[in-house]
Amino acid sequence: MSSTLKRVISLIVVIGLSVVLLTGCTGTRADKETDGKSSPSTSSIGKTEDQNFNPEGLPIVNEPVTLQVLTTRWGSMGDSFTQNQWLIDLERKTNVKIEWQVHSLNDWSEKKSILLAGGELPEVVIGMQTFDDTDIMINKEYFLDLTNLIDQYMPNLKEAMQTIPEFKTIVTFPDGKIYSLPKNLPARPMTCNQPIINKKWLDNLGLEEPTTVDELYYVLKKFEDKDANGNGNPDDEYPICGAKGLNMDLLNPFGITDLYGNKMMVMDDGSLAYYPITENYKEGLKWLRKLYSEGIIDPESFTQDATMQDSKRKNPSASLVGFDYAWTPDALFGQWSDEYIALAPIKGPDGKQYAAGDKNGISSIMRNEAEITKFCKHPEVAARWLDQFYDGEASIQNFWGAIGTVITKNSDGTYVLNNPPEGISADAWYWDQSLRDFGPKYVSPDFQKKIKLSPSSGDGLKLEVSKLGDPFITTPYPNVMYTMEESDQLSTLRTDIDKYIETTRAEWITKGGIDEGWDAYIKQLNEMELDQLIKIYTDAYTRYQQIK
Amino acid sequence: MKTSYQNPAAKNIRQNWGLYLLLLPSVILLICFAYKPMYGVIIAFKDYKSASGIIGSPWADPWYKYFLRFFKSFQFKTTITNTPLINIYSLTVNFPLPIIMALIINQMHAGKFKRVFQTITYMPHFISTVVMVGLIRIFLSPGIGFMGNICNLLGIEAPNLMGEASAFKSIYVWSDAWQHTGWDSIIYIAALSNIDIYLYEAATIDGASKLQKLRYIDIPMLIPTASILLIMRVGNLMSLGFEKVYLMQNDLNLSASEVIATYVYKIGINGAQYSYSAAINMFNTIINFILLITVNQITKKISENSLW
Repeated sequence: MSSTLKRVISLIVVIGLSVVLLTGCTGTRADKETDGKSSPSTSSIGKTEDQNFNPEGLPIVNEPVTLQVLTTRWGSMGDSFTQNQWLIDLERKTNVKIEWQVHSLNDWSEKKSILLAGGELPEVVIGMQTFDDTDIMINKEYFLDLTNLIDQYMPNLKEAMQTIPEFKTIVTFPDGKIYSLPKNLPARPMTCNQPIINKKWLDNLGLEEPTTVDELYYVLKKFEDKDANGNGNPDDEYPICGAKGLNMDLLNPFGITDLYGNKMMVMDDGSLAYYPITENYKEGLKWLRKLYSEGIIDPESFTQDATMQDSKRKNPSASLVGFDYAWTPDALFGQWSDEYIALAPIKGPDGKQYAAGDKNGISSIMRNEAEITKFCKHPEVAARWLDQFYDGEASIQNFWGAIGTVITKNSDGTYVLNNPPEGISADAWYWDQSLRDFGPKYVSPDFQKKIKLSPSSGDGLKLEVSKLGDPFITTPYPNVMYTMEESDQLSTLRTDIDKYIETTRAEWITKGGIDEGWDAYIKQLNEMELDQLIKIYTDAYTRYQQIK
Repeated sequence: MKTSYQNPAAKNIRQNWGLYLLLLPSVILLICFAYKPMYGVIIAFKDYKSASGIIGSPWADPWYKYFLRFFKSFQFKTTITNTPLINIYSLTVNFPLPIIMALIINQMHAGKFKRVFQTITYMPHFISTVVMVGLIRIFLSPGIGFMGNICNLLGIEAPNLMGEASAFKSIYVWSDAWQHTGWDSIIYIAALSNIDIYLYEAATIDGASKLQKLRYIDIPMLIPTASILLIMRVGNLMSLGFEKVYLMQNDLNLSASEVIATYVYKIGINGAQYSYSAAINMFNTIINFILLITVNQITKKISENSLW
């Protein structure tokens, strides 16, 4: 009896399992079908679109509509920005409910490929870090041409495009269509990362602030030899500390600056140079080799990851790192932030100073801040929703935080930033409270004048610190646009060439042999079709010059 | 009566339907997740664009374009030598070690000690790869790690092993040995415990020593299991678990640590060149397949043990 019972039970289990597997197998198709059909509530909106959608005024729709919006954030910032009061009010005023999908940029490149290969995107995508030119160009079919939508439903943006013509040229793709929306930012500094040094260490050892590479070397050598942090141990200082490689800003004194990370530079005479094959780069590496061989650079700089580097920067018992390049002096070192100050750009062997940056303000006008995909059920609703962002007051609230928490609006119509809560840096606070650098924004020149920043913290401080580097800013290789074939080739060429340059550099700095290896290095790069890569950059640059 | 002679397969199924039912889930699983996606491999011969889909993308011109690109690529020589070298090193260490450990455990008679010993040796298997690589990195760090501190105590300058290309293979293989030997030995212990007790009794009556029993009973009884596992491992000679290698990579050891799997990942997922990475992986799989068949034939000849 019991054996038959057992048999029956096992039979049921087996059948149950197979059913689960079978449904698992067809699951994807079932999902797609429901997506395509769309739930009854939204389909009814589709039918009665004319009554529900208001082409002007608020609310945008009479019956609530849900939009899926995807965006990306740095590290583990999470989605705290969605609690921004302006976004909450917007949802109430417009009747457009937002279903946020927030991803971390840590592993976004993997997720992005899978998302694009999967053939299903959310309705709206926000943030220039989310999809770049290449992603959009290669997958053009996924994104809507926004030209007509802007014309019909986006009066704010249209006005912005008339005030700043660059707003339109920057988003016009090589095929003449507009796939993404632009932004500009208020109060942008001109200088990107700047040299910062531990002032307390200098004082402890009675040293002056370094101004040339030789002085810098002298100071760093002293940091290494002496007990600079004053904790009794002369060996625990890391004058320079990297993670998975060295910060290439360290080569700034040698005339090497790279704002957008594509290794291209515009020289004084307007010609282009690919810096890893220049004499300056060679000289710079020799200097770094000297620092490494004398123990100034943390020997783990090429093997440790960012977490280990961070634990050294924020070591609880004593400050351990002497010198680095950063956005502001208080950006990297946690509780030791007060010990660091920014320096003027270090004078190179040629006696000149160089700083990476942009004379028009860093990433002041950018594209790809928002896209509407072809999976969007109500493109006109999405367009009108996005247009709400192109307004001065909306933009500053999306850049710093809501009025009432981060921003105070004065009775005379000016805006000031409040001080961050104790224990959090101003920049981190802005990131917590707003979309910050990402997302559509427009601040008109008139509105800019109404913003008053305090020079003691946050973005006001950066503007102040930036003045050190502003006179020495080099012309960056601009934010050019590539054709389909070019971006396809670019990613093939760069995968191998970039890796080869990085491994060779790591080897030269840690083991030496730059002079002996240089010719073979150039030869190898030529074999990897470096000339083709440079040709692509040159062509794109020439085209960019012609648009203007 | 007649039908049963006409179709022996159908009769077999009818008689043992319960067993076939048990087999059904795994067959469905294979069809769904192994055979159905297989047609996607044709993107290796196409200029794949995700927006046009697998069928809609145009054929590459010439069709072997991406294979050619890999053969000419800078990374071809590095990846094609590193992958089997790491695997052969790993095979020579991690194949015999579990057998030796199983034989040792089999000799232990004190029940409690044996159980504790076994549990301790297989516990590390459950550490996830990410944590494991983190452990290795901190352990070997010359500045803040265990090894660095010991070297400092002894007054020697600690080497930065993670940055030495020549040390990469050893770190990879021996950390694997530490982590998996205990777990891998379980299958051999199971085989040993199946040996008929009468064999040992007969050997004792014949006056065999402990060593002789090991030599003439334990080892020969392990050979069938061992050779099947060997065939399976050789079949994977050209592929390598990618996570651990990828996590251990840095600019200084890349010349020794770039393997096909990590390169495919960088090209395909990071670089979004799906066709190219599919071509590389397909080439890799073909080599694996050839190796598997060759080794299977060889062991069949020598020991009459084989997969099929």
